[in-house]
Amino acid sequence: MLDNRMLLKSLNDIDVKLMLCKTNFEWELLAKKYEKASDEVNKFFKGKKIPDDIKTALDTARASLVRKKGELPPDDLSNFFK
Amino acid sequence: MGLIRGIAEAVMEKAKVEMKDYFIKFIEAEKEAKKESAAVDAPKQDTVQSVQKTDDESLPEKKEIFPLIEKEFVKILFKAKPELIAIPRELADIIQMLPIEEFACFVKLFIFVADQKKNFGYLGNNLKKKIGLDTFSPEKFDELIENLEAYGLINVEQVSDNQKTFILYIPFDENTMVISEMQKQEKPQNSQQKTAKKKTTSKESEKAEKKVETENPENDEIPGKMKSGMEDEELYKSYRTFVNLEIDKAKMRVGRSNFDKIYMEAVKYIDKKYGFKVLSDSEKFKEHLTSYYISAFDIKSFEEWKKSKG
Repeated sequence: MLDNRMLLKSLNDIDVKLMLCKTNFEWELLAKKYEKASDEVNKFFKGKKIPDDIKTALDTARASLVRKKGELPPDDLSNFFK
Repeated sequence: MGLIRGIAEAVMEKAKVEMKDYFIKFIEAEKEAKKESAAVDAPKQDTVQSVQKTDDESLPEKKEIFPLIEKEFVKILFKAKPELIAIPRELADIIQMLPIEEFACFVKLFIFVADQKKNFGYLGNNLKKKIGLDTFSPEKFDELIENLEAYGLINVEQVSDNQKTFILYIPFDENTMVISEMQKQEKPQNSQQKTAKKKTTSKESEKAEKKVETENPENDEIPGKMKSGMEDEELYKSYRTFVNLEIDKAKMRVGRSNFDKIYMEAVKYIDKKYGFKVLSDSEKFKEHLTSYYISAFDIKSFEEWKKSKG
């Protein structure tokens, strides 16, 4: 059973915590949280229309996460090439 | 009785005069009130009319423009900087039909692309300055470009919120020009991708996006995606070092702030193209980010690099 209120709160928390996020590590934790919420929603609604409020909350959280990822210092690729 | 009647008549007479005076005053007051209200209304009407006029003026009549040509836009590189900037007959016949401002803008762009040896690039204030149209307002310049686009002579693409790229139509001459590598890579794609190809532009991020789109996931040009058992594994390692250095050089060249912007665009692109999960998968993200940088900074592909190395 999906608790809408809990889900929306959890997504809202991501938005709030993103403001304090300073490292890629912290970002990844929030990204995982978002992915978990997103998977739960997709699993629950499976092919049905996702309610607008949940869809909006998911989209907003995703947009915030992507923006934050872009704002954080770019990933250091030097180790990647070794 | 006579006295009373006299008094009554006098009162009646007086009342008549007073009533007459009252009516006259009332009518005059009415007239004055009308005049005043008319005087107050007049400027209001003027304002309304002027607002309507400005509204009408602010909505310029959009003239319908029919394309002069409907050709596919191809990214072209000049083999060498042409000494003589000659307009091919085919193109001359087309552009002589253009209104004077569009004609001037096209010719300026034509000279510019010949100068930079490629028919594509960024579209914006910098370009406006470079082609000597800096006296034009951005709106005017945008309008000219829109018109040229409608005539089918330029292809503009909005690649991000504040970035646009263009491809100028120039007839292809195999003696002096080559189709850019990126365009060649796109050719074998299916019809859907061909449609998308029409909209390709030369902007760094745009180029990156398109190039990444055409890349096979197993493409060995992605430095982070080396195939095991590759014949030239050692060479490939050198190539990875080369890419790393080129990215560092590009970072220095464009400056930290611009590099951060490009990174931001890369993140958005990767999210859009490969899905959000890739962003939190460090290895995959780095692979795609590297591909993006390779395209964005015009870093040689593995094959090109190998050839250049001899």
